[in-house]
Amino acid sequence: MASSGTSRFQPYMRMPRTVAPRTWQRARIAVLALSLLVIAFVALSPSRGLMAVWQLLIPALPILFAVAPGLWRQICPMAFLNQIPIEKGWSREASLPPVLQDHAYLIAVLGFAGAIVLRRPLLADSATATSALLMLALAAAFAGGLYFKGRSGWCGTFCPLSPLQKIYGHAPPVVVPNGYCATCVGCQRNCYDFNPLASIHADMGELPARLTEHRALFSALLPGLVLGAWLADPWGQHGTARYLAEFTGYILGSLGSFYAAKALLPIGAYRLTAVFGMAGFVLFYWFEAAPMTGALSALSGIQLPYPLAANLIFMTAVGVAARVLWAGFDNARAYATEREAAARTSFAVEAVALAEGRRAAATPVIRDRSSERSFTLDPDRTLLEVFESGGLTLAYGCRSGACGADPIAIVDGQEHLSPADPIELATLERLGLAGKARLACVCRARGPLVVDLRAALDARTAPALAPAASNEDERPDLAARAGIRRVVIVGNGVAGSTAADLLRRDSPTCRIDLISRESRHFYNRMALGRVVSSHSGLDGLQLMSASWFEQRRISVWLSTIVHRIDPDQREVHLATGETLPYDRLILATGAAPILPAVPGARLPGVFVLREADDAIGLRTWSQAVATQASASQRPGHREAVVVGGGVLGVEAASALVDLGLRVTIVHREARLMNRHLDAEASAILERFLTGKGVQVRTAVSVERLVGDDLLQGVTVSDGETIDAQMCVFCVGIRPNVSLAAAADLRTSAGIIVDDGMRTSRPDIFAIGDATDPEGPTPSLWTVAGEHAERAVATMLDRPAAAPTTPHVMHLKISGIDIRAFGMTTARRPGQIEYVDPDASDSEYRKIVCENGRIIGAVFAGPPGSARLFATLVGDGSTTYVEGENPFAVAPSSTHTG
Amino acid sequence: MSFFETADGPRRGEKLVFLQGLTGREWSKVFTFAEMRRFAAGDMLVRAGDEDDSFYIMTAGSAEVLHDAQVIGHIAEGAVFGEVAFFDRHPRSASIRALQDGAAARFSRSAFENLAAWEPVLARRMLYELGNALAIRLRAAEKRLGNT
Repeated sequence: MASSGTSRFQPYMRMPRTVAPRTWQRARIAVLALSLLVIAFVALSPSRGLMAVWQLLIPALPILFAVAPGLWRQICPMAFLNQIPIEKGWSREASLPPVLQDHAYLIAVLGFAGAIVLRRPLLADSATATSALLMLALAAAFAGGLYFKGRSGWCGTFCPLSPLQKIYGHAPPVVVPNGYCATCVGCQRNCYDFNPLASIHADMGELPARLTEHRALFSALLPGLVLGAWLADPWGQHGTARYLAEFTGYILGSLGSFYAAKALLPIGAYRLTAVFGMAGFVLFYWFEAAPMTGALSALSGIQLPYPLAANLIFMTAVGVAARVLWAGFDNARAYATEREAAARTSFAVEAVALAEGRRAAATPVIRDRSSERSFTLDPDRTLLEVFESGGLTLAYGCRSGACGADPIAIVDGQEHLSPADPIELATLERLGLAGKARLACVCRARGPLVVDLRAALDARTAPALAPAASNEDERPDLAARAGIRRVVIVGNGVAGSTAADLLRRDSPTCRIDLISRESRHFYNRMALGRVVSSHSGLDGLQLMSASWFEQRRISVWLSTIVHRIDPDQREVHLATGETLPYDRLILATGAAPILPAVPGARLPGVFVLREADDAIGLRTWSQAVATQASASQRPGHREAVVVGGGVLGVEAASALVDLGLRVTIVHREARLMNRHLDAEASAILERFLTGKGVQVRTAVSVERLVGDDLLQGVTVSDGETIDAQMCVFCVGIRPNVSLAAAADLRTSAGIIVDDGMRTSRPDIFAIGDATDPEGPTPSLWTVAGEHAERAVATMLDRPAAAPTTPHVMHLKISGIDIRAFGMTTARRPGQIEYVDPDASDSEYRKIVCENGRIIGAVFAGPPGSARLFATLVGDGSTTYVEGENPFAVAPSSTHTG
Repeated sequence: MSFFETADGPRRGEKLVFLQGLTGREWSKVFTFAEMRRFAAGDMLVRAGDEDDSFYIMTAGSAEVLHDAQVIGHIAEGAVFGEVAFFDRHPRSASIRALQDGAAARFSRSAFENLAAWEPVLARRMLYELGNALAIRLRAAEKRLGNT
């Protein structure tokens, strides 16, 4: 429909209400009581009672139906009884079965016609029959309410008077709204009580043709029924048969006239139906006006002037019928116009879609010079998000400016970029790209921009293009000042590599040895999912090259194992037999993935996912399985089980799905990512993964891994064995503490450190995942970077840079946007949760505040759902007026500042 | 690639619009997963032989379909193109050249997978309509074979 506010055809909920519900209720009780009194009156005083019913009350109804049908439908005793079970909750509230839906109207018509045919021969003279009929109607209405929902048990369906009300009352001068249905339960099609003015037009134009014909048939019958009721003689000498034959003749004549008119006259189905219906109405009063006058006189005792009163009644009926037809025809035109407007609206909506394209074509863009591709500018999104929503996958890492996986060269439009924060500046400096590039994951553009994605990548793999900062020599040598000449760092992950970089910046002279068990220079551990799912291998995974370390005179010992530490001699003994003396030692030994001790855990096909080699192994195995599977009797079956539904498990599952495997996540807890997300966000994640074809099994654990010499399945705690040719354990990590423990450093779950990252020996530091995990956000890039900064600051006796807060968890799989930090659920009085009221059904955004400060947030949904995360949550210091929903004061997403 | 306005397909000038009747809200859901590509008149939107498993909706402007430098079809505003490679993941069989400045929404296979995960009903409808586009093309090709 066009704007419903201007529509002539208002549903009952939108109609003005002038009478209080309580008044209606009293009126209903009064009318019901009156009906029972009438029944009693008929029984006690048959002649006067029958006269009252058949010559006064019943003949008065059609005119009420035509003038104010809604009034009758409010107070009708049958409707009242019908609705009692629904209001009281006694009703089964069943839906009308389809057969009854289609035939209820005909059943009502039959009931009506039957009553008319029996009126004069039986009902009008028999108190018993009349009382029985009235009682039967009341009982049937009540029974209908016990079974069927809404008004489908009587008023809109089986009530014999309802076809009459629908045709006489289709364009009444007085519209009274439906007073029963608190909310529409959609119990019937084209419900008259829902939209009294539109109902007939919808019936005549939008029902299946067969059902439309039922409506037309009733109108076609009406004049015949009236004529038959008055002109056929039930007491004639030929008896009942003759009466029925005569009656049938009138009906056939009426039907014949209708269908002849339909065939011959250029008049629409609705108009013909309305005209025949109202012809029945007029004919009715032609015959009833005189008896009505008589009954009125007899019952009231006032002698009415006979021809005048009768003529007055008849002329009123004619006037009412003319008014109904006039208004009805006008409604039909309006209805057609509104329908057409509605159809146009759907075309207009298509225009919206096309306009979206035109708008995109007209808005400023971010253009990539290397690929000649353009992306629509969005000031609320980082460049990385803009590229991703444009279908381009960049190699990204921590998504917080710390890892430096996604530098991009800015060719033009630098002035439109958001300023770099200290983390981004430090990272760019580390990469030697300061002033030459920006990190896509943290910067936003407010105006047109030209970038060169390939140039930036070149700069990263060939850092010789970017010489180290020239003012290095002018800075004081903090290590020398502290008397430190040799630092050994064990571990070249985020923590160790960052520590090496920071140390070199503060000291051009001290010797730095970086020892790595792995055979690769510092790489992006967060992108291992991509190594599994894409064919680019380790390309773009490496964050710092050999020459980067060479330039900074950092000695990197690859594929080298530390045998032991001698803290008293301050020596690190390598398994190669070499010994490295140190003044300070940094343990960044990281953590090892946990492989639970379940039977079969050593079977080929069982993996963990922590290091580059694990990712390569997984990818290779999945392909080997594919080849086997296509050779075996179960071609195409490649199934994987991922154990653990945390961040890593979800990322691994997503990578395996992208590889084309059937994946089941087995998670011990009740919901996915339970440590980072609240229940709502977990549910959104599960819905998305299920949609991608991942089976999610929560609250079960792995009992054993099944297979003879190769993995064949995973048996879980509910007894089921899930077919799988590979299984990846992502059930958490255990800090590598053996070196520290052997050197008698204090350890618990991890190496115990103080605020300055010092271990129990002040010349030995521990950072990153090797330390005792605290809080809900270990293993984040920013946490490891912060550890490195604190350790180096303590070691060199300088103030530490401000910590990066909040440590935001950002799920790195395509197709879903999930970010969370801090407390995602209010736990104490005074902590208030605010949920974005404008989020769509697949989005969820929540901010938890305490004293106006944000202490936690969780955003989840389709790509772009968390685009306002940074704007709203910021660095965690954003404050809000207490009691005010931060989402309500949030800048609009279309704000282009 | 699109066969909505070829002489052999539906009558010339008769335009089949992809996803007709979607509400504004549904469109914005669909576009969440699309890459909006802008182009200038004369740009090649698709090149024969390219490996690219995405299909496009022409949201503004129009284009022509080229096969061996011959124009074999026309893509009107609102139509879909590129659906063959979207389904079979083989190299593009024809090129598409823009006739005017405009924009097209691009859906890669993986973008479509994500759309399907969030909006299964919309995605199912899109698949049917893409299938319909293919069917129209197949019938047109059969008819052409019959004529020669």
